[in-house]
Amino acid sequence: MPVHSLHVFDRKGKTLFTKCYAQNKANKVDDGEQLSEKRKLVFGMLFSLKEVAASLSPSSIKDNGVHSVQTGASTCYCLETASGLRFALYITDDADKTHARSIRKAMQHAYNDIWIQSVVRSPLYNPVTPNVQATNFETNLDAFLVSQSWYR
Amino acid sequence: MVFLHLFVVNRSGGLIHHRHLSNKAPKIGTNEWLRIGSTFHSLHAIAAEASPVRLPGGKNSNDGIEEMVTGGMVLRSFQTRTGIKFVLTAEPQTPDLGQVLKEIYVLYTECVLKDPFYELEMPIRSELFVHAVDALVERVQNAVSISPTKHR
Repeated sequence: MPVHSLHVFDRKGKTLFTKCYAQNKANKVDDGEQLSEKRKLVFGMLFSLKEVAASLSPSSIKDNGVHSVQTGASTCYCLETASGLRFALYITDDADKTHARSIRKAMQHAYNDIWIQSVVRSPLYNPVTPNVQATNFETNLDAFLVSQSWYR
Repeated sequence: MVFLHLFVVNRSGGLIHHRHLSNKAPKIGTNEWLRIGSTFHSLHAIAAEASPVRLPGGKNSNDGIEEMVTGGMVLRSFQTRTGIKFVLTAEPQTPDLGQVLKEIYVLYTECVLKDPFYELEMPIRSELFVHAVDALVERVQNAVSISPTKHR
């Protein structure tokens, strides 16, 4: 169950960070603009699914956040933080979802211990337009993801 | 471990059947239901489009949302070869939703499609179908409560 890609969106849908981890560079026909369109689609989907989920869930439940969305070929794990950031992690070949719990924990870690440490605590942090590329978020995230059993 | 709602969306996104399966399910008005049905229909298509990898077969494949897990419920969708979507929601951790959906599809073919007065793509008003689904849900829930499985 390889990790395909990870996106981080702010609460208005702007992409703060994106990285593709998939190995096969053979079908690299997607240019930057297409990928950016695709990310808008991902954000819009998660946004609307949350609304649908909120109306279908029992009213006693306060947590309406979408945890994962499984389609035929991939699963999107999503973590929404209290500040409205959305982390979306695409995993391919994940039909049986054996690692669902561990992946969710890992995403929580990616926010609590990597995003907060590297981006939010950076002295140059700007809450509206954080410059993620200038921090060591990517290095720390890569090191963490590679250490996970479900990375490949 | 309780089923919440069942709804059926036809090929063009119209809601043709909706009902709640337990008292825990929130009450939803008819207009709201129609909205949820068509929103889900579009999101089903968008999810397949947004996924970085697709099932082989292009437009003919049954790609789209298969399962969505949120804080308060789990939603399972089953799309038939003819494009009808059966969607079942339940409390989190309910196992075998996919199997139940397939049995509901069998009941649909038995009770609805074989009804000589039923027109395709039109709302399902078959009492036989409603009773058969009730019986199925009761059977599944009793089976689960009698033999507590590993699923928590």
